[in-house]
Amino acid sequence: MEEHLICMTTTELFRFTSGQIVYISAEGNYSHIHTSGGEDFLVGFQLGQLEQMIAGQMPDNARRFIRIGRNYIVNEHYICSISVPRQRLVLLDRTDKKYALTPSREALKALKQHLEDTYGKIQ
Amino acid sequence: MAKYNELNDDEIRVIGSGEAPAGTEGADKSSANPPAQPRKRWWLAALLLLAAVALCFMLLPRSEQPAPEPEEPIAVNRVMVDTLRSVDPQNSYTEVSDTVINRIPLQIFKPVEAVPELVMGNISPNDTTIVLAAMAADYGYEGKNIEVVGAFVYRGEILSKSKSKQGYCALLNGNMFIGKALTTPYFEQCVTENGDFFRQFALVEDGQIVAPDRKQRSVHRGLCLIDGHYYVIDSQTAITNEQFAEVLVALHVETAISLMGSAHAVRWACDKTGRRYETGDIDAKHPDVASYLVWRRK
Repeated sequence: MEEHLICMTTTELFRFTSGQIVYISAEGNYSHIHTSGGEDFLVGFQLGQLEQMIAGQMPDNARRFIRIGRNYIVNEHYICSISVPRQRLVLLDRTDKKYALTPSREALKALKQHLEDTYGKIQ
Repeated sequence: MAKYNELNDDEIRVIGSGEAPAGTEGADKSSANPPAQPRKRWWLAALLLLAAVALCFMLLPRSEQPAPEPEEPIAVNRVMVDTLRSVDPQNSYTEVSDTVINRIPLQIFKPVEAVPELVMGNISPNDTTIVLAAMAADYGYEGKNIEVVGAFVYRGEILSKSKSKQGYCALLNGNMFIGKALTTPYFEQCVTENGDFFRQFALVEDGQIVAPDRKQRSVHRGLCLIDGHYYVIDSQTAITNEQFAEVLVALHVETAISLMGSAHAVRWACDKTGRRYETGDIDAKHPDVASYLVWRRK
């Protein structure tokens, strides 16, 4: 059975598969869940809460998601390019829609290193 | 849960891996994956044990009743979704909760065991008898003078008679009545019985949207009646009048009128723990015609 991230409020319920989530961005006590295709869902959870929910509700797929600094959780599968000097992280979803994020340079360095360690150093 | 959020902007963390954030030492002790958080579970168990001991200590001297059934464990989602911050009906306080409807974040304030009252002039944010306060009637310049907009009765004295807004709020002997009517007997009753009366825009009547169609967006505040109880509901983002009324209807609000909105309008609340929720120009000097709907401790 496919795992889902389920976010419930008293009046609404959101349900996403890991593949649908491109990235999540923080906005104070709320978070935007950006899904493949360009939809943006505002949910009443802090980013740290969503991080915990991903780990708890999607144990098999949680490692696809990387928390980057205080503001982003990104789906590693959609990472298209990392540019440390330009301070730019580009995600590309299933519909070829681009998302440009600007985490800190140090975080981008760490992310690049993590991907190199995971997939083997590219010469 | 808050500690899980702690991550510097320069760090990354693979979720569910138990790895330390890049650039730090040690494993991630705060992962939500149960096998990866023995320390957190130990603390949780210790906290539950302490709470149980405290509960027993409180109950034993009063009676010899059998120990109450243990409460069901609270699901992680429940804790995060239901942000109700107070439950004891013994005291006066405000229940505060957050929700998102139609992608519009809302903050909901429910005064408990408190008496509504209309107050004119500047009130002190340090007044501990008040558990919830929100600016009530609009005011504006009429020539060179600042005056209340719409009919206004204060302690039985008519200060304004305009009917420019159809929503009304009447306070009589500690009871509050809201609705939509061009003329209402509550106005006369407030005059004869030393009550208070003000007008505002009507938003919802009998569960239907009656808000005037205005396109400009702002932060809205509503005085709402749900199942016989009054709530103050704030939109956390700038939206239109109609969008606000729509989310109130989705919340099963039966009747609602607006209260003074915008980011400057003062509203504060105090929950059971004493935590305050403030917004607007709390410390600013407001005109003498400024009015507040307040709920005081009984």
